[in-house]
Amino acid sequence: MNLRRVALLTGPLVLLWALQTEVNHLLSSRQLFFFAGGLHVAFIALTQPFGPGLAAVLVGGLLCDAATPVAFGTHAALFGFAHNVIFRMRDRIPKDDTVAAALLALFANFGLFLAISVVLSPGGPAAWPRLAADLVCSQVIVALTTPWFFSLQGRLIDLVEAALALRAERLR
Amino acid sequence: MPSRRFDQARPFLTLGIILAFWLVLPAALKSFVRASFFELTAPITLAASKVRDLQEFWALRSHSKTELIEAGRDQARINASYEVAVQQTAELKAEIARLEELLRLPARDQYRLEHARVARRDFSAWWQRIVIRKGRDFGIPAGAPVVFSGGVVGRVVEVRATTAIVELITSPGVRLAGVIEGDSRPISFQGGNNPTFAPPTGIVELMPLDIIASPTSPKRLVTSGYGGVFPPGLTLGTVIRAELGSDGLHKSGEVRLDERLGSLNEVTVLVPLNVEVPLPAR
Repeated sequence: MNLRRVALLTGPLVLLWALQTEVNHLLSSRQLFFFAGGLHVAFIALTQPFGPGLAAVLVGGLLCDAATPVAFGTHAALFGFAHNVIFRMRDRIPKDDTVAAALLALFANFGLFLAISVVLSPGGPAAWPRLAADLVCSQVIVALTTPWFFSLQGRLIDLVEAALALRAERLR
Repeated sequence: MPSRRFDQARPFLTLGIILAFWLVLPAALKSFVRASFFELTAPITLAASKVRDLQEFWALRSHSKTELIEAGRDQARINASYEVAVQQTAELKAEIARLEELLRLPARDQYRLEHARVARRDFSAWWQRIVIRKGRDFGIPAGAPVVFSGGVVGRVVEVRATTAIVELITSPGVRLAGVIEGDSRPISFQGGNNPTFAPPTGIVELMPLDIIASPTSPKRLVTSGYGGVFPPGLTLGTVIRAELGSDGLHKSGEVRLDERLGSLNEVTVLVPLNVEVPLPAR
């Protein structure tokens, strides 16, 4: 497995995690929550090779697990499953279309949010209004940030690959 | 055809093998990996918190000298009233110690106060937690109660090298014993669902039938001291509704919690002196 590529794909996920925690810190006074699971998997599953992509998504999931009171590996397993679902149908999704990418991230985010809600099942039906508010908040932020995050990941990969190619050429 | 089907299932098979391998890993190894991942991200959390502090510092620096003088004057007044309260507290403590000695009662639990900045707040429908900027480096033990000026915040659930995680009383999974102020009968308190754009709420159960509470005449709910985690008399919230429970023997109701719990910046950890964790050498 190409460990350099795994590290390259994991870097933006760490940044996303840091931004997500900052946004949640700010939203806490309004009792709102931002969940960005869809953003963790969508770009990687859509554009990257299977092995490094799955490894990066699992590392991103473990990063989320470490900071939350869920069984260690829950996020990783769910992110891995979402990655595989998108990976299997990625030939039918236009990779360069921003709207399609945003829709994919939204669907993935919706599915992951529901899956975690089912796993944790907080407070029964009484918790549904709060869960709905958190889901709406998450979907709005994911829809707004998907083009930026996809572009960031794409540019970072292009930059590093170009730099590595240049270095290899110089060494030759 | 079977080969193509296998190709399609291969990603899921790979994930299945990874998950099966993960499930059979020893719990100690998983715990170590979890702690490693947390410590890996701790500098990011701490750096973001310190940047926020710096931002606040520069915002405060932009205030005029007149505002600073006014704030200093107000602070001096508050300090004066606190000094009186401190003297009264010292007098009462001495009285309690004298009575305890006279009646040969066991001494009450004593705590060391450890003030800590909040590095991160994480409030969802699933969990309600904060990360504070003090951990093992300040001898904070797991299970220590955490308070603020408005009452109980929660308790420390995980302690790391330089941070600690506090589960708030607003968290749906939290349960503890409380009493109505002036009453000695214990009531079960549970963190509730926290509606958006509204103060957090909790639930009380097993409340005696003679207790009447409504939004117009709320009752203050305080910690009972049973269970040994929280000292007695700390504010939990106010009971604003009490109705006959399904069993007909007790009442259940709603507790309004302090809305400042959602925007905490500084908290105090009560470190029990009898379970003091040794501080690492610095």
